[in-house]
Amino acid sequence: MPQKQIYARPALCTGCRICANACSVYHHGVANPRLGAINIRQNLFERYEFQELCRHCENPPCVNACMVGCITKDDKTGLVLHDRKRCVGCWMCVMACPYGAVKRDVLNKVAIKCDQCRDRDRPVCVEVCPTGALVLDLREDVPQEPFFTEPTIAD
Amino acid sequence: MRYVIIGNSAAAVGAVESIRKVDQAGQVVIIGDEPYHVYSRPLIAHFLAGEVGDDRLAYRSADFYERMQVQAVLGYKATRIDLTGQQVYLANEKAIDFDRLLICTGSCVTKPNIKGIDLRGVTTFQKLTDAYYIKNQSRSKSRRAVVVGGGFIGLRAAQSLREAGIDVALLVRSRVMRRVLDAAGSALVESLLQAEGIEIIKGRALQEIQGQNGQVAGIILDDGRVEACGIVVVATGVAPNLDLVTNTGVQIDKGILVNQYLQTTYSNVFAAGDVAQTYDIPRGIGFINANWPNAHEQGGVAGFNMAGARVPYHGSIGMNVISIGAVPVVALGITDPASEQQAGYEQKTRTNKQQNIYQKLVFKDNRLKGAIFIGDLGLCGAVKELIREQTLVGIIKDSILSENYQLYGFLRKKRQAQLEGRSIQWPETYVTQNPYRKSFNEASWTERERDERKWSPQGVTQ
Repeated sequence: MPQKQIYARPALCTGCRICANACSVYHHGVANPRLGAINIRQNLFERYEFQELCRHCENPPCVNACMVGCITKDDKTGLVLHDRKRCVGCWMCVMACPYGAVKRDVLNKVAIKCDQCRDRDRPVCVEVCPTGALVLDLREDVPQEPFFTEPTIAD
Repeated sequence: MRYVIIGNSAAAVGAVESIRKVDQAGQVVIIGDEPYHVYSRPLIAHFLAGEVGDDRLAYRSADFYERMQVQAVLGYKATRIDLTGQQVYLANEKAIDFDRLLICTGSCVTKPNIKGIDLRGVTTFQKLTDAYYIKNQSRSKSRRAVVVGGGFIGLRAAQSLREAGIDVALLVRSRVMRRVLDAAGSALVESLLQAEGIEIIKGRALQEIQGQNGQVAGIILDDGRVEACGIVVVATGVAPNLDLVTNTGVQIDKGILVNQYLQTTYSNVFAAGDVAQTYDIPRGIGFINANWPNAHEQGGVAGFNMAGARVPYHGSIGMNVISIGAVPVVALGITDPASEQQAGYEQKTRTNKQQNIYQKLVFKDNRLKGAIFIGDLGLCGAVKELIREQTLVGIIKDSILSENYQLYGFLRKKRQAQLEGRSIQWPETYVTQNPYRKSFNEASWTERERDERKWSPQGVTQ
């Protein structure tokens, strides 16, 4: 079964990080974008964007890497879930995730990972996004890259 | 179908989970020589430090064996394998039949053969029993310990003992984490360890362990110096447990040789984890990358193949992560070209002494071969993926550590191609075209360039 993913449509994202703040407020009770499980690095001036958010992969490297066994792939919902209570902050998952989607909560020594707000209908980040750039959909439907120009090869 | 798994750790759990995804009916037997439910080996360091209790050591929930319908034979060591008769013999002479066998017996620390190695208080640091042992020893006896060996296990042991409030001296032959870090990284890690209150004795080897009434009293170094201590933790490198397969016809090099489906010489016998010599992606040769993520992944792949689904294993890379105080240290792949046999490696580093940041990338033939991230993890996950896929990164060599738009664009483009299921032919290198280079060839100038040239200051060499 294909997994629904949160993704940002780069043409609409302004890089305001309201999503990260909302995530942090909802999950941790403080407004700190560094504690949010989502981070869209969007720079409209230098024209780049990089989406640090969990894809809930089919074969997640973080599940392989987690030495505590606190990251599991839920067979029913397809979500890759992280148990904060058991996490010891070894940062194995941070090293393993190719998308940089797992963050570090350095003070509490636990990893931060998206759970797609499974107790809500829609994730908070998707709800608060002011431009509607964030969507929860079946596939990360990335349009043709408008920013990066092909590097030329020297003769 | 009857699956037998020798070993009860990361690779075994991975294998069981994969087998059950394909085959719900077959019998699965796990043979573990330790009498515990599957627990996390790396967590014993946190247990010793007092961060977690022994109730949190479990790697999978208590009903894991029932849920997966696994018959767990725990507390018995497998002593012999009969490959033609397809039987595994246990220490109590019981025989277990198998159709498919997975060997994931892991590795163990090789204790040096010196005087006093059998004294009370001398231990390794690999298993839960070791952690219990050290905890008891440290409670009753000495407040000072010596850790022999500056590898990953040695460092974890030293840190945990220090956090538990015991004075620790770390005895290293050359430098800390010699196998996974380069000299500069080692030096930084050493200074961080010293800031944590761990004494480091460098360049000396262990000669003898002194005892008193059968209990450790101190160690003698090879220069005759005596260090008093009550606990000696031996962590001088690990070797795979190959006793089971020696002289059985299974081919062995440093570890058990496996093909890309993790099969050994016998097609119904598989190997995974620290005991298997798999393809090392950055080195391009067979190599043992003994760490937790690789073991779980290999176990998973072996499980699929045992159950009949053909899933290839693409190879492993060495990856280690350790936190020293608040400073994370990540080492991936080949980090020290000086210790490699081949030549032609290229390095890029970024250092910030004030903030304890040291980052390093190792390239060869425009492909990433390894990386070190200390202090600032940057995009280490993405870098790990670039190493794993051996992508041509010649065009973004300078952008990876500076994390500029070119790196993000590259990753984005790669992701997009991955989603669309096509591959990109990346150019080998990217040389910035210098507009002034043209100026030496006057014939190629445009009218406007000639004009600009006329008005540029005289005598300036471009």
